[in-house]
Amino acid sequence: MASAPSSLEQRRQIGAAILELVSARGYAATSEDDIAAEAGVQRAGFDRLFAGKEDCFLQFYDEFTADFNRATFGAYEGEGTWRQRLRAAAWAAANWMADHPREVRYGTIEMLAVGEAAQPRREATLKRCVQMIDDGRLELDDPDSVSRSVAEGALGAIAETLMKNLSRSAPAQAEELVPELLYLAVRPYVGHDSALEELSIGRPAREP
Amino acid sequence: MPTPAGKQKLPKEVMEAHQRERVLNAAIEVFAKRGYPGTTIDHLVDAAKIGVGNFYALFGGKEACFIACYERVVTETRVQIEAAIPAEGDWALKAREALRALLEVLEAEPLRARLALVEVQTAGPKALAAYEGTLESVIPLLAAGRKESPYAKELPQRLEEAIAGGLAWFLQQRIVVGELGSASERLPEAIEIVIEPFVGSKVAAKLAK
Repeated sequence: MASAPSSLEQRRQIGAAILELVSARGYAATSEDDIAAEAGVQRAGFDRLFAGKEDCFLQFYDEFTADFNRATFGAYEGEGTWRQRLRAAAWAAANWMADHPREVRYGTIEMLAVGEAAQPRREATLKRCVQMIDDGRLELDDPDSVSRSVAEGALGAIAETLMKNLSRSAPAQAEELVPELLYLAVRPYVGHDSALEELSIGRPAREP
Repeated sequence: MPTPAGKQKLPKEVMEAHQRERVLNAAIEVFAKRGYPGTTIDHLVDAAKIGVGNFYALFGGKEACFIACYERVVTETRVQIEAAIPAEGDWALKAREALRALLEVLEAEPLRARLALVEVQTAGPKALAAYEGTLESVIPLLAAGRKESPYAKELPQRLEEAIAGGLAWFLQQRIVVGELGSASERLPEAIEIVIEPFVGSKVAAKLAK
């Protein structure tokens, strides 16, 4: 007789199941029983690992976000000027999103349906993204001449453009979007003329 | 015998419109306070003091009711903004007055602000499409800024779309963490986000004063 799968294996199966269900039918329409059934585990097995649907959702949200953060902020921590590092981070984020469309939906639109408990987590990632853009102030003679809200607005423009693009039947390619969004992000710090350079810099070669 | 004019019953359509009005006002408050996922039909009918059957006859369900609330908030806000835009003046000035009016509505009506910027995102694909439609409707108004822009044709193609989304997102984040603040505090920031990309920092700084 085959032994029951380990808790770790069950947890992995539940992660795959909640990702599938939430991205297909939405958080609100997904129940604990649905998740257990999709994962092929007993409901009791689910209950041993998670306090409930919200707990389960948030635990995997944390995992997906950590993976996104590693890719994006890892690229930002590399060598180069602020603009080069921001560009590297933008392409790393774009590549991650292209490779993980279901996780993107899960972590953005569906995350909003979770309510209060989700908020502090969202904030943490967004703050780090705003910080990357806001670092552009250090390039200025007078860093106080631009407020942090400019970086928030730029990140918002990026986030909304990407979200809207996700819901399109024929989404624009990253090759088109990323340079325009980079223009928008660096413009407040380097000025229009210099920012225009972003529009003629293409996608860097992807590592195999 | 004809009924005396004064005692005539109100026509059915008038009654319905009146009732719809009352339910929408109550529903906007319920959705904003409880959040879309946390709102039930019972919450809505209790707040609106209406029978469940009547509720379904008017809206057909929770999602349709939410979308009617959303559209009402957007339409009324738009009317207030349009009334605030001066007939004379350049694009940048008109845009500033439009932003000021928007921020004043959001400050005065925090529940409506929450419904139109935050809850709309959690209310399903139709609501999300309505929200995207609102952002899209702003694009031509922003695009008029290109005519006054020294950068004119070099500006990226999706600039307006990005700016509309950027402002909405910026405000949404503030509401979510509960600190939208006053219209006068937010106005200089909104000018930087919306107007500056077209006219440059010097003109924008003057407008923000």
